[in-house]
Amino acid sequence: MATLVPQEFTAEWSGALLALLNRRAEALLREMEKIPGAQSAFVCDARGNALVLWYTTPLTRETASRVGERVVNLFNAFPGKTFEEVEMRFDDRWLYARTLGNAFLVVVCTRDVNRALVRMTCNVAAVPFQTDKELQKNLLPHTRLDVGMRFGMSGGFN
Amino acid sequence: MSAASSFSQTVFRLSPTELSSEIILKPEAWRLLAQINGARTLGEIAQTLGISEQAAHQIATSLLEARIIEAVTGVPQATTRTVDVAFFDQLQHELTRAIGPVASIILEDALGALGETRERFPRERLADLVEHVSEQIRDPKRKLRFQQVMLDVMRKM
Repeated sequence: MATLVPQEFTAEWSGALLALLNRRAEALLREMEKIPGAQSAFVCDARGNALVLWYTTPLTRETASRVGERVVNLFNAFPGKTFEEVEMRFDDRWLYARTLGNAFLVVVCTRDVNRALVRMTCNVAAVPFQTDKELQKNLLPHTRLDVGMRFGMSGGFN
Repeated sequence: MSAASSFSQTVFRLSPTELSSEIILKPEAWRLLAQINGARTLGEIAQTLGISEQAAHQIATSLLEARIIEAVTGVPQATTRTVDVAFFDQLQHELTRAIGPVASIILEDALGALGETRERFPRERLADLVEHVSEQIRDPKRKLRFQQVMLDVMRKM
């Protein structure tokens, strides 16, 4: 049985905006249940802070944020180059991450997961989240990170 | 076939042997045991449960050693499940909607690139095929629609 952990009330996320974030993220993350081998997934902001989590194998917000921060840094690691997707193979798992406009999606799977299925499922499921202008506007980082870092911006956001 | 993949193709059933003592099963072992029906292979069960084949092997081995399950002998080795040829009609139809009559060529090229044929296309490679051909759809909206439709088709199979 999968567990969904929504974003909690904070200074940044409250009221209707919080509800919107949770609604969009939940719809996106619930699609991971259709992927045999998907163990956990989360949406994180541009700093890597985990916002909404989904898991069948336990995942704490702390661990997700730690992973998220490193994944975001990896997306921005090559100066002047932006990426939409990253895949990482570990000894005992496979990680897939992609941009969601001003946020990121990270999915952790078993090593033998059907990777094409993960990519396509995420590609399709990401659209409502990515194209929600109100949500994307509020996901914009309020402060710029180091000079030279760029954030992946996918089509659909104006 | 490697030993590991051979084990994944093994079909198990509950052992009729009387157990000599109480057994305690961890939740993951119970979940696997609940899937064993004398017909499904271990690999299929692993996929259903969303666990790695290695994890399934470990659990099945412990259940075997505890004489809770036994391998079904005399059952033909499970062959790779292949796709109904009719699926390709649907795939080509949707691809044609996305990129026009060149779809048939794109599809044949993709099959060749994957080293497969329509007649014996393995089910576990379906997503690879759909992704491969969808990369030929330049229009992002059409590509998205195509992937969405084909994902629904694959999930119903």
